[in-house]
Amino acid sequence: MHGIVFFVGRCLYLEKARGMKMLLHYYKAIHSFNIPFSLLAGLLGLVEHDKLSGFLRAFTLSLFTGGFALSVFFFGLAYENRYYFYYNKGFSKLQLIGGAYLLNVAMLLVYRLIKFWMI
Amino acid sequence: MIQHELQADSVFKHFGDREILTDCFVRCKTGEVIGILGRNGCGKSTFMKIIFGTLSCTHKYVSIDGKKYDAPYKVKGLMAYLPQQHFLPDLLTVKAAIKLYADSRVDEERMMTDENVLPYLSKNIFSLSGGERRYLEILLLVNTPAKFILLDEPFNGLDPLVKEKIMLLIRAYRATKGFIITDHDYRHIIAASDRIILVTNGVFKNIKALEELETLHYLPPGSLAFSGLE
Repeated sequence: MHGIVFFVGRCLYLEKARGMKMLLHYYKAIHSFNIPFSLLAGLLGLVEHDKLSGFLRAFTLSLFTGGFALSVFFFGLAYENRYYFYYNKGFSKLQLIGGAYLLNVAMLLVYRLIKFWMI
Repeated sequence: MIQHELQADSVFKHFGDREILTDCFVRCKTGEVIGILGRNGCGKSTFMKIIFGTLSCTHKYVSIDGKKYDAPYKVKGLMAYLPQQHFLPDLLTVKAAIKLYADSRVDEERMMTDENVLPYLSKNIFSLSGGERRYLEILLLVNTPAKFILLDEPFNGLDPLVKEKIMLLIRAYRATKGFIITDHDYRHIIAASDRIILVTNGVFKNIKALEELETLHYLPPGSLAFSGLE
């Protein structure tokens, strides 16, 4: 009985791990557009506020809003067929975009927590 | 052998005023290869994307084993689709793509020891030739748990040897899967398929005798005799 439970649990774990790998792959692909764009936005923030906090604020804001939206748009424009790489593994476009955004939110939460502990 | 049945019925699609597909119907069972032929722009790829679930349409009824699905691709293990253009990310190595796509160690091992893939496992996908890349894409798809594989122009732009390798791949996996393939290379489609469907004026016609391909003006007169297919 324990063996069956262990086997089923392991299969489910591997299934989730593989799904997560695909999502991370999409996340990396999207952020190869988003990060350079957001860095540029961060530099503009630096000009505006002349402080590191200005850079970080503009960078994070872009990473979550305009930069992210533009990345999804340009990825779709340049690599429309690439989505079939994920479709064939059962991911829809909405799941990919939503998942990538949630990963961003998780990263922000980790960053905030680290910042909170450091203060 | 477990038998599965895919049925796509009442598929209607229009682009603006132009009706591209009107009441199209296809049935495919495990072990069958259905070949779809048709002229450029007649709606072959559109039909495949509609039944896969990534393209919207006016109306469709897609079922697998009697259960209706609006977007079969979202349910794991139902369908896989090879688009016309390459879909694998350029920067992955062949090995990484296989590891990412394989559902089990057994599948991974099977793909990595494939004699046509083995020599370039460590290469990046962008450095592969068109034929090597197409073969890899099809190999990845047939090794998914999908019950039905839709291949959109699998032979396009490939040399005869690669075409033969792809034919062997289809033959090797047809025992456990159903295939729907479309291509302009009618000789290979005829050789690979159990049944041929011709798309003409938005309607699917089941071809009973190959001569119909000429009488329905898909092939120029004498093409079949010239190709030795009569």
